[in-house]
Amino acid sequence: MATVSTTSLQTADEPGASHVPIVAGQPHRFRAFLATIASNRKAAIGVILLLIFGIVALIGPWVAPYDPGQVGAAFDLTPSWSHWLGTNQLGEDVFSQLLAGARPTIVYSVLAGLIATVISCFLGLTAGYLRGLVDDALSLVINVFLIIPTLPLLIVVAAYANALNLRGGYIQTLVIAFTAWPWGARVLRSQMLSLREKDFVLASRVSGDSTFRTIWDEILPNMISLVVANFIGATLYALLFGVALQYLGLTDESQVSWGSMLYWAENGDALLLGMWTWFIPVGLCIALFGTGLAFTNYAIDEFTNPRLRTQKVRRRSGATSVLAVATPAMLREGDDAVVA
Amino acid sequence: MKFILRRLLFYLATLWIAITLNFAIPRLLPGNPADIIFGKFRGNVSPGTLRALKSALGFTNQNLVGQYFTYLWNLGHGNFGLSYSYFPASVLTIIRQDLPWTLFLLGFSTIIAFTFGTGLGIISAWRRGSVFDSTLPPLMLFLSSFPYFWIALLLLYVFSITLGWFPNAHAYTVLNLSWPVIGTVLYHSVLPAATVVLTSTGGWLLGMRNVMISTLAEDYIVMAQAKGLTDRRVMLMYAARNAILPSITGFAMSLGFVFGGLVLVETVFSYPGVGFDLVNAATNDDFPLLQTLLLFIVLAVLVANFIADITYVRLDPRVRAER
Amino acid sequence: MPSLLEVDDLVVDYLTPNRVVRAVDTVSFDVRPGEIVGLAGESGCGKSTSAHAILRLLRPPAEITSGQVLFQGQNLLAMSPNELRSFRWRNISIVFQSAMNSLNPVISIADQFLDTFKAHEHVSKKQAMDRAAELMTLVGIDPARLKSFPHELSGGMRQRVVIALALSLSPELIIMDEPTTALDVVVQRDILQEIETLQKELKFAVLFITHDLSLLVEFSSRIAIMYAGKIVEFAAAQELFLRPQHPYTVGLMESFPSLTGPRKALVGIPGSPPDLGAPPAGCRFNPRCPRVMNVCRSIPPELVAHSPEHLTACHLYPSSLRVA
Repeated sequence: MATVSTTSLQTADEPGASHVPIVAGQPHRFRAFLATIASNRKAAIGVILLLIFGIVALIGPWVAPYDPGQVGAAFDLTPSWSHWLGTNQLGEDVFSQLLAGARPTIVYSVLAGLIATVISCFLGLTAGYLRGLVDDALSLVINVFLIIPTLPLLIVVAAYANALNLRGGYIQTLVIAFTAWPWGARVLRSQMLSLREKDFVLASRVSGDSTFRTIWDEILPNMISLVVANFIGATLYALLFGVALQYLGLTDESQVSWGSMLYWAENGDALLLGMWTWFIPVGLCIALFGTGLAFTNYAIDEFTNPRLRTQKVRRRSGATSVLAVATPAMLREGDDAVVA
Repeated sequence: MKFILRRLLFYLATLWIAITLNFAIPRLLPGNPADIIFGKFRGNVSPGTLRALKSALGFTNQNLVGQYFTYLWNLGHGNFGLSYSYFPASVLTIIRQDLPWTLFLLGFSTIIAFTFGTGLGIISAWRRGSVFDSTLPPLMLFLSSFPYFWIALLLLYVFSITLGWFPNAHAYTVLNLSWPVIGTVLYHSVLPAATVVLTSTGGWLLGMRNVMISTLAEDYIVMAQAKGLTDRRVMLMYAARNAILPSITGFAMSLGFVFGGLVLVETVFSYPGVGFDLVNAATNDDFPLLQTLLLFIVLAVLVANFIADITYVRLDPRVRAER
Repeated sequence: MPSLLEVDDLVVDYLTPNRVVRAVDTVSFDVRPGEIVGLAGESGCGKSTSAHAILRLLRPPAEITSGQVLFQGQNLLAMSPNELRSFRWRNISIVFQSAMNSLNPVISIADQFLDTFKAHEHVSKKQAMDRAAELMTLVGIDPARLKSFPHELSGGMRQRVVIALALSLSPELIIMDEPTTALDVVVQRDILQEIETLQKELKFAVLFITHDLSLLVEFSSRIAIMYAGKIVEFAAAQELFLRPQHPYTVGLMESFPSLTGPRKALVGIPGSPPDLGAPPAGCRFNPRCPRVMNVCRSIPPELVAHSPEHLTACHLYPSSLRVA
């Protein structure tokens, strides 16, 4: 049987099929991303939420009606026109605390997320690119960190830090960042491992490009969305753990933040006194900000992984995408578009 | 099985690293580690006891290596020293008493959350685009954005304090092994367990759903439908059976996270488990207890992971064949 | 002879968010009992889509817009889901291109046979296993391999297993969608011979889909050529080979080297297939046709018989006999 005849007949894929876009060129992708947001309700909500909270973080302390730390005799007040959410057991205005507390909470989370992302990029990409012994060692470290339960570890480290009187918010940020990086590192490492073998990367290396140039010009552009998704995931993580540490009273409770509000609420027996305004609005804000992060993250996720869109696509090979592996960070955030 | 052996080695390595970290961290901090840890005991114990206490954690007059081995030796013999906040109880006693409560709560709630979440995820993926699928996943996503302990506080506030349906603290009223007591134990565990279920089900649901959607695009699903198999069989035996594998991996990986949440839940409900102890130990600078608790928590997570690995191997024949 | 399978004016569209792509455009052909009909064309011409449409295995965004698929007179497109489920595999089965991907990776081969039997017949487990063993022997695999899992078998063996599965309920028609494309040449030959032998013995009809026309010429009794979602020619294999009418078919035939006869330069077909979302007006092949006429650019040709049993959709061959 002749096999040469096949050459004239092999062409493009079946109509309607598509694959994970490995896109070159930034501007085109950004515009496409904006299009995804515009058409997808969840993504739009996510971005809007982030914008709202971003603004609150920025101007919060300035628009707060009272000085959040100002104690007074008017304590345990229920909501009224002069105090929209009432006052706590020290006479501080709860609403002002909510507004002012946004900034430290959000800033610490974003900062921790940023640091964690930088670390995970560096370590994950190195491990994936260099492979061999370096990869084995780094993978071991990553896996160990992944397995050790985070909050207990954070609690122990925080306890030691407190014993040394290192209570500041920035210490907390660093501590959290150091436990947040393994998730991202692992995902980036996988992606690096698969991209590394792609033809365009091999072509770059064969044509004599330095390692740095190969990574910077060929590989990194294809990972940007993954890195951004990681950043958002890490920030979400930092938010929840930061708030948890503050609630447990293991950080500086004198600084007003959303977590400290919960700490003081518990201390002031908010539940027993029925002072729901002390903790319910705060919780809602945390959840909404978190949801904003999660929705935005998954807009990015969906953007890079068309399989999760409602329109089904047949895959040709059996290969699974990195993003399809369920990691807890994505277990919380991954989802698919609502039918448009 | 090479796979299992490799995992076992990894867990042992992790345990060893955790132990060594425990040993190293106090010594790496600025200042005299012995003062940090044992400062509080001064005046409360005799010098002899203090010496024994110090040696249990490896603070002897030996050099560093000697201290390390003393530490390991004591660890192996279950000698973890005395707790400061529960003085004069030994750390081991406290852990032995409280660990079972945590394991009970953890097991109970995680299994419910996992089963529930995975099941809903399967249905959600199968009925993609339906009303069910459009409302439940986003709702669960929203729920899982709330901090664990906030949901705990909310539940406590609504169901316990306001409505008085459930107790607001502790795990039991009287403790002996009888049916009514088991009843109160379950009764006390409802709110804590509900917290864990509400916040973690979302993760399982979404994870399973996404993997299912990918799996449903596979060729063998089309083949199964072409064979004329019932929808139910295709959904369960072909799709879910394959999709569950990453979920099991995800389950194992998220155990650390679940443990973290458990710590918070126990704190809110004053549930006498190791999470509650951990927080108290941290607030009270009870370092002997703190360190050992962390070790045990790590150990529990490793064991659970190992069980998950074995389950995975049983379910995926491709891994078994790995040479 | 009445047809076993009759596809009438089948139309399949892919409804993507930006536009509608008509992958299969009023396709009609038939398969008679016990015969092998080949369906050939390039990747993307719609042949796989047609095959999936017959058994209603298409998934969103693909949709059957109109047409009929008649099997022994029954319209498959009008069946209820339950009727369809019981109809499938028993009357028509299908062999997919990639056997590895067609088999459930986590259950044994035996279970994949048992599944099929349980879904359609009331047989005991022993009876089912016996039948499975028979089928395995029939395709040349040791029945002891029933215990194995798909990843433990070689590529050729897996394809044989899939064929055995396709035969398990003794269907009248087996659709084979590029069953050998994923295999190497030697194994390809084995499998094809296997199929030929089985077909002669069990006398089932085959709809054989491939992009490799050379396979079909030896193998099938009639061949349909598809281009850009339409059938452009449909004739007996010999007839097609000796007297190809449509310029596309001619082009394909000229691109095989021949083992006998004088050496000649291999000629490809210049240009590339059209975008099915916006196909050219008139005959879809007109941009590439060496014998294009003005009418070709505006009026699409119909599939008509210029000579008996030889249908062509080309303005060069207007019909003398009109075929519906």
